[in-house]
Amino acid sequence: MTANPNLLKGNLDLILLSILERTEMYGLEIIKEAQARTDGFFDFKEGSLYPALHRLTEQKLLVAEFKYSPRGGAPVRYYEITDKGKKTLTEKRAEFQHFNQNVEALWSKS
Amino acid sequence: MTNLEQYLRNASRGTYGKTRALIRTELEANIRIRGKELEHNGLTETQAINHALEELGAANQISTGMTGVYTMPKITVAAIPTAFALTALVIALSISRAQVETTVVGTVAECDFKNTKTQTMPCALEANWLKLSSFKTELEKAGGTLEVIPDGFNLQFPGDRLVKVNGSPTGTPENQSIDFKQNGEIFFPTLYVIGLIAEKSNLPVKLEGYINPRLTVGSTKIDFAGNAPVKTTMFRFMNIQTQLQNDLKNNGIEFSATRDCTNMTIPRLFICSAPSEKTHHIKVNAPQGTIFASLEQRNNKSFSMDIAAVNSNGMLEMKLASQTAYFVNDFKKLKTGQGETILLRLTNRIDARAKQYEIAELPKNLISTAK
Repeated sequence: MTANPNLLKGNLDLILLSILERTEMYGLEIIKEAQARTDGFFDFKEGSLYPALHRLTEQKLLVAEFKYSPRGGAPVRYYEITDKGKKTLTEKRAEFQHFNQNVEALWSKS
Repeated sequence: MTNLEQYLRNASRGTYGKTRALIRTELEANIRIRGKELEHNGLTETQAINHALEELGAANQISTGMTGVYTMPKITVAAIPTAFALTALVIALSISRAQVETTVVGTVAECDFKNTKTQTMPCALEANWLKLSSFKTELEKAGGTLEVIPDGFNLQFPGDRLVKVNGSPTGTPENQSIDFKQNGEIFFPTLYVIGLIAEKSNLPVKLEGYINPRLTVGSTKIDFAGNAPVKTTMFRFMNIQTQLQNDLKNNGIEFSATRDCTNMTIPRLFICSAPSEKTHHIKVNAPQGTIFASLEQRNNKSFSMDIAAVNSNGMLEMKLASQTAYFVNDFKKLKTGQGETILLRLTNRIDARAKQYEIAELPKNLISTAK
């Protein structure tokens, strides 16, 4: 089972900031990390990943830099979360948990 | 052009300068890394790159997303004095990216439709010639591509797959093969190109207009016009044949592949216009320009057809075999030589995935008499 595209799209910033919270990564690594951590539930396709990374960079939540990958080849663009990004992640995580708790409350009280 | 280059072009469309270069460089590096991984799994380099592109998804979604990040914010912060002007600019930009209309000038070698003894299908199809450089310019403005290759050309509409149009570089204006070259310009038969786009495109393809048609592929519109009208009559006859053959067969009606319109190189359903045919003026409830085809069973296994567009008076002027035509709305009601006629309203869809016509709804027991 993979994520509902609308849910994925609606929470893309939270997902990307969460993945980049620990270490810097480039696009392909982010895709693989998302798949690995969620057993393939998050599968980025349809061009959603790169525009989102660029948007977060424009918003200064991420910084990006071309670096050589350990795998060799041409330099790839690594993304790293900024302090502003970390703060936003904390806020978004709290928002999501709050929302989630309330949805679950609806089910438990029905 | 490789698939990778094509993908990078499409993915970075709508962005400019350093931003465009940045997007291309980033995507290419990631695609190549993924390609190398797939090569280790046994794919060839080309297969691996193609597979990596598929995994990444549609290039135009990346370009749309990137345009949203880099281009649209600049528009909204631009110093435009009124909301009206801002709206106008956004609308203009969206049209210029997605719905470019263009005029493609073709040279014309008219076929003589009256002389059915000498008329041939290639002549009918090649009555209009597409000036390839003009088509390329307008297609690229719309966000597509066109690349001439030794045996024809490749074209791609935005969001569509690559369409190859085969040609022959040996043609001359006097002795055309498929295409020909004149004064450094390459010309292809306009309707041949349109037909291939309809056949191979992944997107809905429409052809509107009886003469000087507008081709719509996905959301891209291309207008065709030249120093003489671009006529679509023969193309439309050919285009509806597959559906028509199926409809006739499903209604137990056989037709013969032998034609009295000479030199036809493919099986045809209709008999070419002949002096014995009568001109009918038929009132229909459809907007001006709507295209209809008539179908009569003329004798056993042979049919007569004509095609016409609704004129400014709401009338169709059609050539029918019978002095008096009795319009029916069911293929089963066509009878040999009795004047029963079906009118088919063309939908303008020309790709095989769609219904290309529907039986026209006419007043019950409508009769037309030739004057």
